[in-house]
Amino acid sequence: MKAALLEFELESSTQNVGPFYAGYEGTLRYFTREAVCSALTYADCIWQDKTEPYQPLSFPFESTPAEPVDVHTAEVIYNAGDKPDQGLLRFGKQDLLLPGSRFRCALWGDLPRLAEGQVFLIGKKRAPARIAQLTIENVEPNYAAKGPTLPVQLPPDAVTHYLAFAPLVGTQRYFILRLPLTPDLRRFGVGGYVVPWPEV
Amino acid sequence: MTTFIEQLPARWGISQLFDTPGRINMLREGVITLVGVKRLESEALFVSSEGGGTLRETAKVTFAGKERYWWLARKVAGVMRRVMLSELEVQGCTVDEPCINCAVCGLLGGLNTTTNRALASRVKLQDLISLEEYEYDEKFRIRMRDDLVQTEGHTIFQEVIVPPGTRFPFIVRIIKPSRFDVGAFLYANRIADGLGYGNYSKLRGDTSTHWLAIFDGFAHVSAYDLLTGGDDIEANIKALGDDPSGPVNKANTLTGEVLEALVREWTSSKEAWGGESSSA
Repeated sequence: MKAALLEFELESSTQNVGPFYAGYEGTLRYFTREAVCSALTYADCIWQDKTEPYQPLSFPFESTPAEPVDVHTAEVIYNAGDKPDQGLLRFGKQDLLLPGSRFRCALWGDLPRLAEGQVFLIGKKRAPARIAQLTIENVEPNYAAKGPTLPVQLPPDAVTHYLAFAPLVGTQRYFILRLPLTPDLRRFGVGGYVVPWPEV
Repeated sequence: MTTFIEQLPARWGISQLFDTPGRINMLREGVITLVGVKRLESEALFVSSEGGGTLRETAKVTFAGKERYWWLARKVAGVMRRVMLSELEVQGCTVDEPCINCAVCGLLGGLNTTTNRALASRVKLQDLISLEEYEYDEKFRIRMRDDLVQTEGHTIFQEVIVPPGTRFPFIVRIIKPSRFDVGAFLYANRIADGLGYGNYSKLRGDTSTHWLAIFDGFAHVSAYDLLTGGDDIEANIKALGDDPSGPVNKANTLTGEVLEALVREWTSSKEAWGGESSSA
């Protein structure tokens, strides 16, 4: 199986919106696997029926969420429109992931075309990001690999299958966790990192 | 010589955009990448944080090894939308209530909170980050009272501005482009440059844009590479035009005199791009 470990760097500010209340729009410091896979397949939404329930996205390859390696955020003010007192979400504060922030993720399966220097658009604001470092290897899943571990993304109901985990991000739709490398956890190594591949 | 842009579909109607599957592949629907340099012709102030007291400070970001002036993309997008609404004489659509039914909403997107109808912007702007290093140069300013005889009541404040001459790589991608989209963008950008961006743009924030390359495809042009490639950023972009990386139809790349002629014509007259395409 082919697998890739890549690090990418933002070239513009963007968000993965987390807390959002009282005119404050915060960002999570991780990108979901859907954000990573959509970005690397150059998928985008021109329009969306907001009344439709969320449909899980499928891709020809799998991905971990992108974890922060060297990420900086800033709180900025926004003031949209000429009449900021009209309507919702017209003024307030936003947390942004700053240009130059670096993330790491692993992909495996039927990989898309990848190259160092490749640019793709990611996050709420579709910020360009550049692949700064890339390793592609043939890997074999196993139950013994050891080393620094990448996080995994699981649906909330799958989390309870694990006796131990370190929660990194929790939302209604997904959890991003770090799993201990127990003997029954399928995994593989790529680029010096261990990628847990839970059989859920 | 007919360029690939002149052979694009004339324009997309709103219903055609909503007939497109919501989720698209950019590379299949088409992308063009425009690359140029924006240069400040007067001082500018791009405030993004609340600040404190009487100090207003241009935003900065550490990128490509230096602290640089940071000009958020939405400060460009806002001026562009106002220019387009005015120049295209759109009725019933405002920045406060985008109608999601006009040519401007078709290109720049928006959300109408009454109808809950939304379109994403097909113009992908990115933050502008200066080639020049950020310099904390606090200017002391006084706003005088109208009545100059009064010696009290003047407002004293401080600003950290971006000096004139500062250059910013300007990389723009248009998804599923039509001839109208490219023309309207180039035309509005030219007018917006004259109106100015940022704080108090009535008096400052004027820029010029020197377009250096337009690629037929999603060119892997990186601000990082341009900012670390030396001081002659225009030469760096020209070099990119000779051999762009990424999914690009290289034979169609527009640079040099051909590009300059197209930009000159399309920014001079709306008729140049507003009519029907010969191939559409």
